[in-house]
Amino acid sequence: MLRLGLGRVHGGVSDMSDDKQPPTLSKFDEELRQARARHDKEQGAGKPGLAIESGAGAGYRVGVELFAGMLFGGGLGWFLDRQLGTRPWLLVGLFLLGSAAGLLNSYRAIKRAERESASATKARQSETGTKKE
Amino acid sequence: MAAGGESPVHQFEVFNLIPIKFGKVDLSFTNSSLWMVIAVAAIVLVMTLGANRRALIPGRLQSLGELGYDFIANLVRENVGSEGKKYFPFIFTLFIFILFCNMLGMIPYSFSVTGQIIVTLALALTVFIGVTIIGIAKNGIGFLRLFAPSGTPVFVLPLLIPIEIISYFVRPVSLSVRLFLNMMVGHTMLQVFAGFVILMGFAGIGPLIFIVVFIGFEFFVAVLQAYIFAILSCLYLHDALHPHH
Repeated sequence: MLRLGLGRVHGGVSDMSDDKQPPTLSKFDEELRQARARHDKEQGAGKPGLAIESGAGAGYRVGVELFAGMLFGGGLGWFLDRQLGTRPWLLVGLFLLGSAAGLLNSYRAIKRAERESASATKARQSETGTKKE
Repeated sequence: MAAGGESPVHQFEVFNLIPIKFGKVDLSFTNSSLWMVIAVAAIVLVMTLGANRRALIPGRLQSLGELGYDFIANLVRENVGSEGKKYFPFIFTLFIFILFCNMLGMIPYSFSVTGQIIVTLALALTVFIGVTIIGIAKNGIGFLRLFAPSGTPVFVLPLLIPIEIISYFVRPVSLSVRLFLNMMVGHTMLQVFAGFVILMGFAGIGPLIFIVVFIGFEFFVAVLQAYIFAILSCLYLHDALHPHH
């Protein structure tokens, strides 16, 4: 996504310099708004994604998600146990719930990375397609 | 990164520069505070100096600022949607602050603010609390639908809702732990291998080469982690604005 973003910047700059007659600001603004609306519609209005986190990056993220779930569940359980004097039941229960939550979060992270890599390849294809025009 | 002979974690030590106390609250100005102030000053300097000339064809500093602006603007637009434009200043501030803290931490003998779990946790909690308030303000009670995805069988709900709630509250933890671990582990590794260079005498050239490569990688991590923090904040914001899975 990093490279994609930078590429878009350069594209924008060169487009501007290619333009022989600069359009008036209000006209430009109108066109920009239309283009953004079209872009939003095509992209499904801000569909979340993490392009850069492919491969090892996604693996790290999943690991941290899992670890954070356990840490949070265990920590909260330990703290509540100490406050309420119910050792060790809340620790056990909340650790299990936290691990489940960590699993859920990492599952979502994987799904997101998958969807994003799929849409990134699609975007790359369409981008090369538009360049040929 | 202090010289060899000290503990590898010595570099993360926080100490008071100007002790300030209000009753029992310790508000001392520490080396950590100092580096945060330096980061903010550097940001202001780069941004104002860059924007000062307002040239149509940007110079180096100006294009640095413009690239950063455009990058985060795209990030917000793509991940939150058009209604996320309001929150652009917040995301941009987060990104730039973390980026500069990470980068300043790469200077030898400096202090890596983002290698402190309390700093990253404070940043993550700011995002978390802010996003939760936005979600409740925008959706009212409908925000709670985030915890009960539609289409779930009723008999799994008693188990699923606690899991969803915990998975929501884990967010600031994973957000802060990720940044903190990346910075802390990288800096500790550098120090440990720097110790090897001295210990191994002539054969120390091996670890030395490793360090050179690893520092390059650390610069990459510094930028990547700032980016990940920003994009995850965007995703959470998106969830808060559209609480239907």
